Amino acid sequence: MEVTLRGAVFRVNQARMTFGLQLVYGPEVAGPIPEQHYDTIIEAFNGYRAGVKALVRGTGNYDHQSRLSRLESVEQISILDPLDVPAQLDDFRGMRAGWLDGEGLAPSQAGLDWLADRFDRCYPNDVPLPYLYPTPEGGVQAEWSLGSREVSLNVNLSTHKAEWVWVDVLTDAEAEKTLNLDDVADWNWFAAELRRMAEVIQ
Amino acid sequence: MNYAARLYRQVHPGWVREGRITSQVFHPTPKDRGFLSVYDGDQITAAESWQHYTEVLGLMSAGVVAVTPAECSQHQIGVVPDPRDLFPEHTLLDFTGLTGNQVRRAARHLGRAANNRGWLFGPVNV
Repeated sequence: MEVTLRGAVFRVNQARMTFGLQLVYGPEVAGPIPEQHYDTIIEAFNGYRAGVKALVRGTGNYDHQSRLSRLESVEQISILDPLDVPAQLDDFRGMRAGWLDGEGLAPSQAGLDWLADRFDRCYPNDVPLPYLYPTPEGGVQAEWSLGSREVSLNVNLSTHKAEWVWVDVLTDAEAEKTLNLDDVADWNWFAAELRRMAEVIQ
Repeated sequence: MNYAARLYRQVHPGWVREGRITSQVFHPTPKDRGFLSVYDGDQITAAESWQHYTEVLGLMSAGVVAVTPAECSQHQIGVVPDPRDLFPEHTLLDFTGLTGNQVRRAARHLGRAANNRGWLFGPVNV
């Protein structure tokens, strides 16, 4: 079965040409090192302690409980941007209620799946990637620092609504807007806002 | 109060991404009832505050960032010494006089100030 995995290369066996991938959320899996991808796998391995993650596409073997047990082949591997959105969202999947010193709701798996899918479908490649954080209410807050503007998008994973807010720390100007993230037009709107803010500082 | 003092704020590990903290670090939750706890940097070091927070109070912290009383007063946030038994450095940031929008704006300003200042201790892998 074709798989797309995000994880850290924590082990390399050069004699056997195999590597171990620690998924951002999930098990550890082993796989073969194709010669053409050797350098990239070593780069990811060397960056393990710095938090470097890789995107691996290939075919996987599953056990009798339908769990991924091994990578059968690796077709493609690349180093992930540190702000890769699916990888950031995967970081939240192991959270439990009470994560914030006894308070705090955990983001739902379905909500994280939805948000990852929306970013994949609707977020342009030419717009700065956000820093993502969990909120005590069980949502996700995306943040950008663009010049003198602090921008945030507070996403409710249940309603799919989001509060878009920016504050200019030099002028105290600010703006806010409620968005419907099931509407691609709203994605286009805030992507255009981010693009405009990013262009001003270049 | 020394307006240039460092007020140390502990950062939950979930609120760090690539070394950058979220503005939520400086936004009171409903449980906080308008107050945020910090350590008075004129009485304790950043490293000692992290050690106290994690070992004595038993709470999670990825590290320590800071704002100053001057930065707080620019947004009408009170800085109130609140010494307690075996915790004399405890200080409160008082947001109770602010509207919701003012709190939101202040949190972003303080978050930017703290990120610009950098980590005073850590971040550590938790």
